[in-house]
Amino acid sequence: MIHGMRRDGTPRGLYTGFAALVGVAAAALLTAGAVGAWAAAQPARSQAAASASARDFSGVWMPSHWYHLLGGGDPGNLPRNTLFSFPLPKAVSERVALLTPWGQARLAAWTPENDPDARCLSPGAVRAYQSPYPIEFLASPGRMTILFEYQHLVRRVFLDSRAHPKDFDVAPMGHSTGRWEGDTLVVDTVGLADTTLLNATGLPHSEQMRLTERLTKILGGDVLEVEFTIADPVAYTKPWSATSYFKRDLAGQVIEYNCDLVVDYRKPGQ
Amino acid sequence: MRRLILALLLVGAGASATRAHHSTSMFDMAHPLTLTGTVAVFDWANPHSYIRIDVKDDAGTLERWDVETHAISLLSRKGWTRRSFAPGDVITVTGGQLRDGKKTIRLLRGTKAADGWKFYGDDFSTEKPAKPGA
Repeated sequence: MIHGMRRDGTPRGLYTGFAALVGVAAAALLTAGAVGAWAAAQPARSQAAASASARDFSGVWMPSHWYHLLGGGDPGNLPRNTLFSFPLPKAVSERVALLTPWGQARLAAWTPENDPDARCLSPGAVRAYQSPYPIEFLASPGRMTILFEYQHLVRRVFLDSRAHPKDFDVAPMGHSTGRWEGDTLVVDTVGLADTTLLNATGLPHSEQMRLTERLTKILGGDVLEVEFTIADPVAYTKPWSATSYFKRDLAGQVIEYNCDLVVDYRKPGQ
Repeated sequence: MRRLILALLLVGAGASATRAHHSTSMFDMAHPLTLTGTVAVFDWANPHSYIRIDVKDDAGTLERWDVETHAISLLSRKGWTRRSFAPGDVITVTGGQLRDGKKTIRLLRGTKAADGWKFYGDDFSTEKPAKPGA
């Protein structure tokens, strides 16, 4: 409007000129007011925009630990899994030291041959993150859906303030609810079947396990940090945490992975 | 000798990397075998694919060996397809044998005689990116 007045406003008389001056002043005041309001609103709006961006997990993410294996090239300085970082035995032995007698017995019964993974059985909510396969997040109102390439697994995280069902039957992925703490998605999971393990070397858990995950985009949004805490009084003497990292891969593709073509370790050649 | 030690170290690093997803502790990855044989069956499968090969033993008798490697999606990303091996293909493979003595090895790396294609299993230390355009 101001530009328009300046461009074609040629005052023809005093009144017109005065009116024009008032108009310009009013426009300037209005403009100043609007700019003031805009400026005041700006931090909140950009904060909201930044937050929306920080909370946007949608897309394909490659586990940083296996970036090389997944064709992403050298993982370079990408942060790696803490629990499964090398040397592996120390990271795992620290958790083994926390096992209760029940947990120790479970671990002693594990062998690579009876490992659920070798038999195409679900790895469960925790171990699904440890595999060398990408994951994909789908956002929809009241819900975050996590798709795992590994065995075509799905986790549904309900963000609509619902409670866990009272009599939820256990399942490998359990029942998950989530809420935002700032730009961190906090996921609470219960009802996890104890047929699954927490890693590839037999770390067990019981059906009493409560899994808390804190998912945050870090390093400019390119890396997703998943800190998970295991609270399981049956299997471990105290809660413990570990972290996994994923690198956003805009070109990443999730490839179909089913276990219909199972080849049994125990029957080679068949 | 120095080269041999280096090779063993690299193999060791590859073996520890492998344990983090699919446990291969039942394979003796620290003492890999190298076999040359003829492909009988290629099982393109999850959770692991197998190349089943016939290898002549010292007496000249054919023995069936199973060469275990990754799941389909991982191999796809390395440029493999279900047609990577056909019956009759001659391949040379290196990998760790099952500790219980069964004739199964876990693939580290191999070469296909016909076209010289170098393929990789758990040998992450020397693996190069997949073939361009693969």
